[in-house]
Amino acid sequence: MTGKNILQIARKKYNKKWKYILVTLPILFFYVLFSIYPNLKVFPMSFYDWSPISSIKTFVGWENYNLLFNIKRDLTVERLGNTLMYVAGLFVIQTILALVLALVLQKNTRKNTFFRAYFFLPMVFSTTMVSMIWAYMYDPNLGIINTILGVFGVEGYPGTDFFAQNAQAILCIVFVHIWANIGYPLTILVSGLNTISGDLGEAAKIDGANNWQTFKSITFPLLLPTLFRLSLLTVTTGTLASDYVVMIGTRTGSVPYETLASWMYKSTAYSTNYGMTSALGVIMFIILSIASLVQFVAIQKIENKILG
Amino acid sequence: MCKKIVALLLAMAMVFSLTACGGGSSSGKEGSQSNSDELDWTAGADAEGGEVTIRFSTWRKSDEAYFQEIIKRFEEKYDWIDVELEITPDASAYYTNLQADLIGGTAPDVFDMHSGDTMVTYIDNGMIAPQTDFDYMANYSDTGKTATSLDGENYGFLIAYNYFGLLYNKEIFNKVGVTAPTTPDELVDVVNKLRDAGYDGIIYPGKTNGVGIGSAIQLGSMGTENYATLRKGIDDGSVVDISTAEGVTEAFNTLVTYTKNNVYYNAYRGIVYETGMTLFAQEKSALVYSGSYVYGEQDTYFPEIEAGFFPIPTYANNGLCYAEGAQVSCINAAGANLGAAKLWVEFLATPEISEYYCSNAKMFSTIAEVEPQFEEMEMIKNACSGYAIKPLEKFDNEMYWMSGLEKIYEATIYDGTEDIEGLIRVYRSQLEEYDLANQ
Repeated sequence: MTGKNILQIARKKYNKKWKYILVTLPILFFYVLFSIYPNLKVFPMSFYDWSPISSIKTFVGWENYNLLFNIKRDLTVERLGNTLMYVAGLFVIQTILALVLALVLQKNTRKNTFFRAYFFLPMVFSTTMVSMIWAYMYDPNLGIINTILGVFGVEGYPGTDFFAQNAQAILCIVFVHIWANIGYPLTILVSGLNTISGDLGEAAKIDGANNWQTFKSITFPLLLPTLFRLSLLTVTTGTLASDYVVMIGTRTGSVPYETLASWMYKSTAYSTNYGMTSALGVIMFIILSIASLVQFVAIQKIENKILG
Repeated sequence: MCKKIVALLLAMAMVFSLTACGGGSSSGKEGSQSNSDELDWTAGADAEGGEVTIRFSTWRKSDEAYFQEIIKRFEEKYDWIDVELEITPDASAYYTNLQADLIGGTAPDVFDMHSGDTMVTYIDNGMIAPQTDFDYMANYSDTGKTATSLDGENYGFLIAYNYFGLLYNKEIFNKVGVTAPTTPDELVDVVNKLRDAGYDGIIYPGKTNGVGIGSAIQLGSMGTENYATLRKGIDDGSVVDISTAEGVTEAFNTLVTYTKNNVYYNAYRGIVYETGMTLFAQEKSALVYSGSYVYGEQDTYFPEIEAGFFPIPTYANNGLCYAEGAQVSCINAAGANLGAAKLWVEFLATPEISEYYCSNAKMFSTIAEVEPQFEEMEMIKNACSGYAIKPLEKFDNEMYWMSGLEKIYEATIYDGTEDIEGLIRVYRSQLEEYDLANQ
């Protein structure tokens, strides 16, 4: 290869690189302007006493954090606990349910295609619609769940408020979340299962392995990368989920099952203390960053160990 | 490694620079209330400036027909002004939109609000124009002024107010042989007799009203002045032991008595307002906690029922009703046609319009000597010896003390905690810790 050729290849590579940068530049500009910049702006905002309806901003140092960690400590702790319950519930139940459904509906038969679409269907309904329907169904006195249980003579029904206790309320909302969104993890897991070569399963069967052994030793380890990516998404979605919490309790004043995200949303929509809301955003950012980092490192280590 | 360190330093520099940006417009903490003299009250005030359109927003969907009639009469009188009525029926959505519009500078010229914290915040930030010099103030009752005035200035026109208490099904009461009670113990007895006859307890929409019944009983026990003095005292640190205030202990004892004796309907913490009215219409219970405005919506909620009204009995035994303002019409200080907006509010406050609106919406007028005409008016008024209305209040230290007070209400309303002295003691130690006098 002559020096001239090397120069041409280098120039081509250089031009190609700049082409990519030029193509992505406009979208990068808007991404930084409307996503990165506002998110970073939350950090300085959390040190001010300010309201969006006023031009007056007062630097208050750590006062907004003091408000969250000392003055409103009970609320912060309760809502952090609710958030953790929400994430844990979503993570465990949704992952297991989606995995079971994916295994059942893995093969591309007509019946399975129908059921995959069936489970995906609630995803096209609006969150408001889903929340309103379920809020009416959960109603302690007129809701269908209470009424049916009452008809079957279960003691205390109708008249049971599913949202009277934090854990029970969170579980009820998580159930709605899963009902409405199970189609997404299901689709990802079915795709993940379909990337696993059928030859491996057949070979295992020839060697005498039963279904459970095949799943445990072949399918599950090979599906782990997909499950790990899914878990990252689930934890993030669960931590930031405010829509179902807000809307199912939309006609309530203060609710005992508020999460950090719904608290942040309500503070933004109905209060004018945006300094405290920003501090809440920073705290959630830190929690989520740590959780994601831990998950990411753990995933890397486990993947390296299992998949070599 | 070097690259990572450089990246980290750059990121820190960016955050630091943003922190510096954030303080660009900082200044003192005091508010910036609008000064009436600085506003242009001539814009749109007469026909010489040409035709103008003003926007008026409210959440009162059930009153749409009355507002349309009022607009018709207004436009006949002031033919250069068009009024556009904007209704958002869901009150929480109404406030979300209003706040966004105020931030974006597209808020209506006149907007309705509840008398409360949000109104104070908007006043504090100069978004609501004062109405202290308006002509209607000469006829404006003290009830109205209590709900709309702050630091000597009046910031809105409260078109009407309502009594809050218990609506009861007269037919069921007659059938069971009970009458409207006047003491907490009598009310417990009435509920027990109703239960024996197969009717459930008091429908309290706890999910919609939160601790509303707590405020109602406290205001009813204390009266407006004592209530306002206590809260002001807590806020400025001069009161740490709330049991010393007149009516407080009676209020909490009343709440505990009701919870302990299970006078409420099943799962009342989970009942929303509409569900409560449905249960009342279905005659699942003969008692529901509500504002008297519900008589204006009787055709929607309980068309077949003849409903009586009485105040919630308290151990203060004074027969006072809790009253609450309906909607306060506020003028957007940044509006382009302040003169026209002023004419609209003045028109709403004329005795003819006040009587027309209150008679149809079945509420009580805030204009002196206006007696609205509706069937239930005398019955409601006669049921109460008087009323206590929640004042418009501004606090400096609310974030320190409000949630603690609400926790006492929650403990008494929902848990029926009998150790009121203990609750007050814990609250006292919290207040002492915060030392609000020196905040």
